[in-house]
Amino acid sequence: MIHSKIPLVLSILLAPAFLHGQTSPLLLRGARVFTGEGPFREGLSILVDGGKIRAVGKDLPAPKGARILDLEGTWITPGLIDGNTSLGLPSPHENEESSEVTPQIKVSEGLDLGSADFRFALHGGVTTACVSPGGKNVFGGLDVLVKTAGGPEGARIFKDAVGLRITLGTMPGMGNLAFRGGRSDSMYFRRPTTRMGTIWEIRRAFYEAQKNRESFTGKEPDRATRVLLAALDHKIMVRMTARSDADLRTALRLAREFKLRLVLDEAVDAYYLCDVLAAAGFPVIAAPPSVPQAGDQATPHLDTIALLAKAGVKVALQTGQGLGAQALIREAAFAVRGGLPRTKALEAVTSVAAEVLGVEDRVGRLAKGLDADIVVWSAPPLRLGSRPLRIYIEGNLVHSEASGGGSGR
Amino acid sequence: MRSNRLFVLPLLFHLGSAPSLLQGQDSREPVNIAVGIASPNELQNLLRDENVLFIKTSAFFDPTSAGKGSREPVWLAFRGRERVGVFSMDEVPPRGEGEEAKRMDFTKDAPGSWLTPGFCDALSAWFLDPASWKERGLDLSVKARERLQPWQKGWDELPLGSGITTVYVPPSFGADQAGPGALVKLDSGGDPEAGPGGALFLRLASPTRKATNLDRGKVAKTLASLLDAAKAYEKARRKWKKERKEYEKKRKAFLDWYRKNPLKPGDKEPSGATPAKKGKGRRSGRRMAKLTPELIEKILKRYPPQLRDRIRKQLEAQMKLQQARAAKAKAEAAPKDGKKTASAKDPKKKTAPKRPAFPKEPKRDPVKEALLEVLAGKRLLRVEVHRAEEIRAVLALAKERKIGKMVLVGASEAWKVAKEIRRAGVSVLLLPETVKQPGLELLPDHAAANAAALAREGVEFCFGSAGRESARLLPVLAAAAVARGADENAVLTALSRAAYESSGRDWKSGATGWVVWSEDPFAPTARVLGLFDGRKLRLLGGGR
Amino acid sequence: MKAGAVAFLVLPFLLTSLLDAQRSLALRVGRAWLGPDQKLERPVFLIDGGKIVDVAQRGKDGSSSPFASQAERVLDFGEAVATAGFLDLQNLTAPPGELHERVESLTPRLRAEDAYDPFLPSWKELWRRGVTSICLSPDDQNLAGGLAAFLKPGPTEWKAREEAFLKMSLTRSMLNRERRPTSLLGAVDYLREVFEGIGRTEPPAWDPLQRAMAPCLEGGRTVGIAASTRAEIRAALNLVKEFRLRAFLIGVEEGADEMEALRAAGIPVVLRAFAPSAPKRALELPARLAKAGIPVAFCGESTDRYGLSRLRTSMYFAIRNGLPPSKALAAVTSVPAEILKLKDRVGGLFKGRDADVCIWSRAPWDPRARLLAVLRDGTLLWKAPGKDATKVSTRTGAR
Repeated sequence: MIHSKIPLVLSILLAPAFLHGQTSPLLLRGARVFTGEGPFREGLSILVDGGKIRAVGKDLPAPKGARILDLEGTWITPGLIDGNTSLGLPSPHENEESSEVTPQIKVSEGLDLGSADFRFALHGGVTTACVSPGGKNVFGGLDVLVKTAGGPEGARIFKDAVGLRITLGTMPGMGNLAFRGGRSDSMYFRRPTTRMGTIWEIRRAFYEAQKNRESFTGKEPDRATRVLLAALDHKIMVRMTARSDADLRTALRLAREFKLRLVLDEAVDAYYLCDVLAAAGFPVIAAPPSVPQAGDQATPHLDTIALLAKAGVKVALQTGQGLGAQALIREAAFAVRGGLPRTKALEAVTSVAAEVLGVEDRVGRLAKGLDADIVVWSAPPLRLGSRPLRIYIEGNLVHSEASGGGSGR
Repeated sequence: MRSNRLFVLPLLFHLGSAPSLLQGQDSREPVNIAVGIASPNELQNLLRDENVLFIKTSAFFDPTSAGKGSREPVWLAFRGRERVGVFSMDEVPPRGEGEEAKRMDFTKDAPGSWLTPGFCDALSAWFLDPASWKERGLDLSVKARERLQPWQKGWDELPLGSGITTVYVPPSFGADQAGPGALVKLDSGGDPEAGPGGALFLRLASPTRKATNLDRGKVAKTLASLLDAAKAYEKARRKWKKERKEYEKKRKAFLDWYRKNPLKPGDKEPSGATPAKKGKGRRSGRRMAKLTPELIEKILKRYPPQLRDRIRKQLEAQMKLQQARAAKAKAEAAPKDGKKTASAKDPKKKTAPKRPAFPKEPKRDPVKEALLEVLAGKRLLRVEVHRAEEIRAVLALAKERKIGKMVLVGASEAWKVAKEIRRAGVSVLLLPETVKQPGLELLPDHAAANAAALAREGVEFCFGSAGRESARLLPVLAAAAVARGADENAVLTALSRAAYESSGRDWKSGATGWVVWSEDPFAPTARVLGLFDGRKLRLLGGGR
Repeated sequence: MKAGAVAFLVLPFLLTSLLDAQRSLALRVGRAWLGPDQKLERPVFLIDGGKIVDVAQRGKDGSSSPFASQAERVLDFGEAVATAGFLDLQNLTAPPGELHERVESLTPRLRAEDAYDPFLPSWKELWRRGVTSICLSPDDQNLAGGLAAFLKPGPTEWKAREEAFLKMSLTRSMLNRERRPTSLLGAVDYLREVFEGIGRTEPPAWDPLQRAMAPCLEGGRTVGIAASTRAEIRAALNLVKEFRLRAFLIGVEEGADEMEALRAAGIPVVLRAFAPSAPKRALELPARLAKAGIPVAFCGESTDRYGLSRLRTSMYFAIRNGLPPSKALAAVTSVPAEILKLKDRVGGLFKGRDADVCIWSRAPWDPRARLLAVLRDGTLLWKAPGKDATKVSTRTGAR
């Protein structure tokens, strides 16, 4: 009994040594590799050094002092990217509800990076997550891109204020008036309470931001205005959560009106207007396809993502906030079931997601100079039984399954 | 955590042969120890016994011995859990040829090391399902032993680090009546110790519940009525047992008769030979009496005159029916030939005994049986009372009903009546948490001050955490009692022997295992170096 | 009627204490911790006018007896141990609900001294536990609850002396669905809005809120921020860094997970009393913080259900879990004094400090130690009753 514990103890003792301090170059070879586009390819090796991918190619020579990892019988993908989550946010408080327009609130300021949520996401192969404020406000605030593990925790936030979240539809108005029984002394006795009101809040905020810029007096405008101006100037993306057909059309109208760099979020009813969306050229971070319900009277269809991709819309995936979605890779598999080609499904959670979020120069593909966020899978990742055997984030081994099916030594 | 796992060593570890631990030379003066001095022969026997472990510490405490231990370095010999000898430094020779006993010298690394018995939490919730902590509607038949569940791994580290090795778990905390609790070793993962013991618990008063003076006066009455009911039950059971004996006697006679006079084919079975089916008995018991004209007249008198004619007709019809049935039965029983008549008039048949009826058993009541065990002195009774008048009333009742083994739980005002408690010879279980209530006079630092007052009077007392988390407060409370003037030995006894005995078990040397401390166990810097439970010595790497 | 009763209760006390304070005193003990790291055997303190005028050492054989001629009285506690009186940095002793304002979350102009009641029976409880001075502080239910007041509680102290620090809170108990903020994100945003607003406008244009918050910026007024969870700690540290606040953290229950950030910030941490259910990680936190060089203090003395002194229990458990005893003593004396910038007055027994002295039967972190007497500003505030207290011999008129 005592002897049986020794390997365990040893592994606990030695684990930190594995987890950190990987200074020598690392060569991964023998696995089938998905680089972020195209199908899985055999015979590709990946050289990692200093937290970055140094080279990807056939029969790469191992530099001096490099550790070589023979991963025969495994599948490698870039670390997955989740387009919208609430990881690390306190569950009922992901919005500041005292106002409808809080564009200046940064999610990164209240993020609990030590939360176990990140570990669960990591163990599903997700290395980068976009954490977004909740959808109870018209302007929810600014998204943040986080690595799910690795490094000292401050460094895990790798791009702050990546997008501004705007929510259309009935949800922002729901908390107002209705719940409080119309008590006029309540903080919640205010507009908007309808779709019209919601859209008006958006218009008014943008109008006032523009007005402030025009009447520029030398003083720096306040933070909310700065964020709105950044959105108007295409410095940050505008993520509009629109579920129903009508809301999607509204989003397109608003984008045209204010010339926004729009990204559509959830877009459950995009099924109806694939061609319109393709013509407009805005990408979509689609709702998790396994979830059969959606708000705002939208009707989810399993094949929405496939149809969007077919029409030429850039589609990324998300697990969403409190939607009851599966792990991200399973959601990709659901999209495949809905008719999306496998390669497209993997792209939706890697390279396309990186492009949509504007970080294609950092993550999303296995290419020279990008972060070494690598997942080694036990089986083709879209297969139901697949699981990550080893996960690297910026070259650090952050998850390792010693008894896995691969020959990872 | 990690180091603890690494250092779990069986007794047969090789430390016995490690050179640094071999010898116990000490340049100090020989110590005169008042307790447990063994003869040189005995020492030699112990040294040759492979089941003996010698532990050297700078001081030790053992509530079993009269002298309560020593504050000088000694070698202590253990066989199993039991301490079998104490030897001063110069008595024990360096390890020699043919020595089989193991040795462990703690004074090398910790010059101020102490050995004490493992501490015992006299009222704890470890291993008890949290859902049942506050459960109320229990009675004395519910046993803690059946409700324990293994606790999460690693939880035992906290109390173990405070030297607490044993906990006493009641079936519930919320219930006013709770059956036998269980003694559990924290190391055991929730398996209660085998053996008898386990105290009953009755909450007669609570500091949190509002009570008028009148209610408080009822405290003794409640207990008395419970005991009376138990007594009545015992009497009924005794009567039934007597009846059963008689029944056995009659039944034997009944069976013997038929063994001697076996039934022949065609004989009627004796009444009751085949038990009547349940439910039919009642109907048969209602059979109508045999009607005669006189009886009919008698019955009719009970009815008003205008009804009598109708009823008479019915009864007479009934009488005729009965007579017809009787005649038919007689005709059937009538002999068809002479032989049968003879057998029917067999004189033996006349003497055939009636089948005896089984006496009705009074329903068994585990609650009352448990109380009877208390009255018989076989089980300990824990009674929660708080105010001085309640304590007095319960003590008087205990004297009247001759309850020998009793522990007062809570007893917030025990300091007021310490003398009376000592005279009654009961011990007190003090709880750390007491709620201030009007009419309840608490001393500042109430539990500790209470303990000190009891210690001054010579009353035996112990501490219970009454929860899971506050177990580690017990040594702090004990130390605070020392601060208030209690004797240190009395307080160490309270943490070990008194707490163990408050579970209804008799204390034996090492009943709660042994703990080796890096220094005086009350010092905040003291660490638990090792835990010894008779089978293995578990070394904690400075765990707390 | 009531005033009469109060006068009846207080006047004798005031008179005796005033008279006592007038007379100089030589205080002898067996050992004293002048500061947490500085021990003196057989010291004698000359106390006059409520201050420690001088400290000297007696000879081993008792031959030399300094100050015998200077002092009008001598108190001899034999072999007892003296430490500075404890300072509880965040005390919430007030009638229920008096230490927060419910309608607004930013109330920086409120003063806790206005909730101070000198006649609460609790103050005597605090003396019995060795606490001679406290910061009466707004509680955790407001984002900026108001100014804490440094005071030496009890009937002799009529007025709070200092504006000790501005109490802020980012904890969950501050969130209120009926006012701004309703979330941690909103709380940080609100504070940032106020602080940035101060920077963007000139003082004449400040609104009352900005005027009240402005002294905190750039290391002016000390700020005590309650933060429990990882996210709250991180948010608090970000604010401290961004606006260069002179701050300390209160609570820090999940601090063990944010050691890196705490070490980098290096600001003091004030820990609340341990609950008996505190996990091992929490118990080990003081030792880990001290090892990382972060000043640690304990706070929250009150009469709890267990009847034990919370500060001393905290010291005990922290020491059991690896904190050096000197750091534990510092946590209730010198560290809080330093945080309050009152190191020249309280938190030690050095020359020139207030004569706030606790006299113990052993070192105060030993749970067997008993408090024998408490002196505050040179006045005997409380003395242990009963025969077993060390005998106090008083001589008058040595001169």
